[in-house]
Amino acid sequence: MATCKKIALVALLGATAGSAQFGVFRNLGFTPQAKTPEEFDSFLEIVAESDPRRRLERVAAFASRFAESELLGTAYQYRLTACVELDDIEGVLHAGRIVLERIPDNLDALLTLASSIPNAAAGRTDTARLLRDAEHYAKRVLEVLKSKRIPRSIPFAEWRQLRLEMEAQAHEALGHVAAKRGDFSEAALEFERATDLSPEPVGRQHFRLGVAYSWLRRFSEARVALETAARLGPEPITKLAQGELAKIGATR
Amino acid sequence: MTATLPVALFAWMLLQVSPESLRLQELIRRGEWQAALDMGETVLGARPGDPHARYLLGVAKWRSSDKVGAIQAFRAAERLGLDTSYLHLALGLAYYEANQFVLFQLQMRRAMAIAPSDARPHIHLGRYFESVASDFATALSHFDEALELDPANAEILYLRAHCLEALHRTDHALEVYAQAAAAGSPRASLGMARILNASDPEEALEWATRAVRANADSAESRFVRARILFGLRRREEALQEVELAIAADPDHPEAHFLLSRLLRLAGRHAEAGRILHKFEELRAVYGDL
Repeated sequence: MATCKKIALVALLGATAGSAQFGVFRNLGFTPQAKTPEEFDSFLEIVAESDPRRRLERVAAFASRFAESELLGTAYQYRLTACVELDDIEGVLHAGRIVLERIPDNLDALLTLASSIPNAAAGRTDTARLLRDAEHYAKRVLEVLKSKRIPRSIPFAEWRQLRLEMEAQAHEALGHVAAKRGDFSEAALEFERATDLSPEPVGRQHFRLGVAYSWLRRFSEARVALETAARLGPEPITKLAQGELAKIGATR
Repeated sequence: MTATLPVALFAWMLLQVSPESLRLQELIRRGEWQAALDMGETVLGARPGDPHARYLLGVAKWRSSDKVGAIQAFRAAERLGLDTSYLHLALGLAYYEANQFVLFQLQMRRAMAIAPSDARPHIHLGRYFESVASDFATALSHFDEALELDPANAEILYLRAHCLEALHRTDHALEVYAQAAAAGSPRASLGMARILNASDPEEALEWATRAVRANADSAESRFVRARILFGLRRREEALQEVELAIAADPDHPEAHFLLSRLLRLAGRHAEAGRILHKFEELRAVYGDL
């Protein structure tokens, strides 16, 4: 998921209408407060920075200068998005855990960790533990969403759409974890839930469903899912789906 | 509270600023935001230390929805030595929009220190204590001070009455709502209707009807009117009114609850059940009534 979309998504959870630009530091309920204008100036330098490497530097500078700041958890959310943009999985794990220590049940961090970990877990000595963590984060997203309260300024229909999107992502992450464990029946079930729930069809989710069906030798269903994925894209997903379709053709 | 930055009242500046800043100010006055942004960057490119141009650029950025950029521009103006009530009001409201209430209060107090006869910082502080902190007593004290500075202001009277109502000082609230209504506050009618509904629903209905006439698109006015009609057992009219409330605000939980009751009383059980389900969904998301 692109950084901008993620920030907008979290913004919707806490923002009043028209203030999405203030993004991740607007959380429901308690809002962290800067104590001095200088502290907030330094924080805004993070918010305004579009380059992920420079954003990491800004977060480090902020954390060193304002170590007691209430905004620190939110600053680490920006570090998390920068690490995702840089494909720095160790950074994602580290920043995500710090965010959750400071802002427990932060949906952005939970979803990012749940989605990122399975991709990085293979070939490591701690694979099993990492997959357990990812499963825990994804299930926590589903639990938190069940009881999430939102401000009246967010229209119900908009919230419902957003909630379904996040639920679909959580199920996709659970499916990904199951697939990494070699449990393709469970993976297919979770990917089915993801594609059913998602308010807009997502190519990546259909691709993963198609691959799971292929492993289960349910080729006709796999073909439908992969053709859908190829049609939805984006381009890397289209290419991957076409590759899988070719493999199915060769298998049969 | 909607943050509205002062963009037009720059008369005090006219003798102090450069011709370029005056042109920039004129673009802002005309609402030509993109041209103002371009002009602002040009002016600051030539004279980066111009605090007035920084302030004006901040206003243009704010109006162009670049709120982070606006705060940064206002802060730059402040660091360059601009110390005016307009800057502090603008920066304070920008902090408010960013949910930075400690800094918002700081800026309002600076604005008050520079322009003690200006009621606006008191109004903004009052609205903060009323709507964010739910501290109605402190809000009331700010509205009292604002009213001393601007005694005929209908909006301040309304806000003061609203605080009195929240503090359960009903008789006093009714009196001030009446003053606010007489001064021309359209929202005061709704307050009158809410309070009078307990003692004199017929008169409450008149006030609610006035509120609906003043703003036909207000879901709250229509909902209050529907509730009064329901209490008066004028259920057909209540049903029509609450449907209009929901049309104006499809996520109004209490209006859904009232509609469900009215439909059930009309024997329309299936529809009533569907609306009750929607009410429960809304309550789960938005909290208890």
